Amino acid sequence: MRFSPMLLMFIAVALFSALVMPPDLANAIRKVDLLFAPVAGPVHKLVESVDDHWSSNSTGRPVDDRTVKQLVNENEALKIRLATLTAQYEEIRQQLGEVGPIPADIRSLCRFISVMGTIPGRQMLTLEGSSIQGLQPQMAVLSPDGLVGRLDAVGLAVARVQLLTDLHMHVQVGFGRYPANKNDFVRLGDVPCVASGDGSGRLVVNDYKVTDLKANDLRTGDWVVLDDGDWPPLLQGYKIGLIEEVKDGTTPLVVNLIVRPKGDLMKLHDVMVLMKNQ
Amino acid sequence: MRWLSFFILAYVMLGLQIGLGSSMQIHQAQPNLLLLVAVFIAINAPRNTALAACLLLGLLQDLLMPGKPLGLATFSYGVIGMLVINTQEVVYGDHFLTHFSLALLAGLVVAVIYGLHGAIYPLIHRSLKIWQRPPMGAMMGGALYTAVLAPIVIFILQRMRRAFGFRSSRGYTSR
Repeated sequence: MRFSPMLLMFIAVALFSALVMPPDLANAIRKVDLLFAPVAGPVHKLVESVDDHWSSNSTGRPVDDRTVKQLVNENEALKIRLATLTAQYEEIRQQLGEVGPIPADIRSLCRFISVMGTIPGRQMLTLEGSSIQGLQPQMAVLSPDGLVGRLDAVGLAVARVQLLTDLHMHVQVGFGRYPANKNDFVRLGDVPCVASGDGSGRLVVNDYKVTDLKANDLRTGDWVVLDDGDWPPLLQGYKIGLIEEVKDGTTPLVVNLIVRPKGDLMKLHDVMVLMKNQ
Repeated sequence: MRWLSFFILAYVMLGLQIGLGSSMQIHQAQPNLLLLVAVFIAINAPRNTALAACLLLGLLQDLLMPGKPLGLATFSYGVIGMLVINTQEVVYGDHFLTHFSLALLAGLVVAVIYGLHGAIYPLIHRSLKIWQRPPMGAMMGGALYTAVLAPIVIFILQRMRRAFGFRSSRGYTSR
């Protein structure tokens, strides 16, 4: 038995389109994933809660014969110890040049939003935010560890973030470092360059001149920061990630800088959306 | 076939696929729930109806695959539809081994088509600066993962078969 010629023609058209259509044109058509939020949202929440429950139950609970008074005392001692350690931790983070707490002026302009899921095949997150909450496309998305990405599409029930590490993401960046034994962040060089997402959790600064590399004394472990006029002024200089590797470029005159954000952006549970673009 | 039931199933499965996201990921391999729907439909529905449904599923999958040209999943699901439909009369559609093997075959066919496409596409679009070839290891792993889930998912779908009002190509009502 044969198939309907119309269906076979449809398959042929699909093959033609798959070979000929540029991905950018296809991406312009794709805005439908937001339609699936009524199912995707609750499923994601359920999975998260099951995951939390599972991980909290997975460690064996030993039999405890301490009295209530002992537990209260121990709790108080632990609180004091935690506060001390937290203060020490923040101090060490700042000494090492790691990202400190988000400045209060930025935090006050942000809305905290939970992550609903990821987009298969892309470095994108779906958020439990909507246009009703005031979210708009192109708004910057942050986490305590640095810049995360930008809102790509906002619907009535869900919003989508294009991460900095996405294949189609490009952003102008600068460089900086915390000199040894100093808390002041020093910018290295004043000419921004373009970093592009590599689609697998990192960014790449392609064809960076070796002369600039030497002039700015760039090396692995230096910070990459935002230096892009298309992003809110408040975020200029905001940290993106660390130079992980300096690779040979296409010619001996250039190198490629591999940049890794702090933490896996695809595994974020919550993010902050900067509600003002200016 | 009752198309409303089909669209509800496709909607729920796609919602599940998005919602589960990377939670079900094992070493970059993710199951493809929509592929299982395609296999289920192709096992049960009449030839042309099944092929049309597979193409629609592919189109839906296409709309959810940013970074890939439109039509790739539609074509893949069309090929899978034709392959599985042709086995309707020679396989026992209620056996879990049938579900496993057909889902594995479908997953591998998708992986091969994506792999070939990944090799050919940049040759056609030479000006394309950024092109990421599909990770074949993850796709093969995904095919196996999908096949492992197939007996469970398709078993449940087979129990709901009446809701779809399948009639075979030969004209009698399906069991």
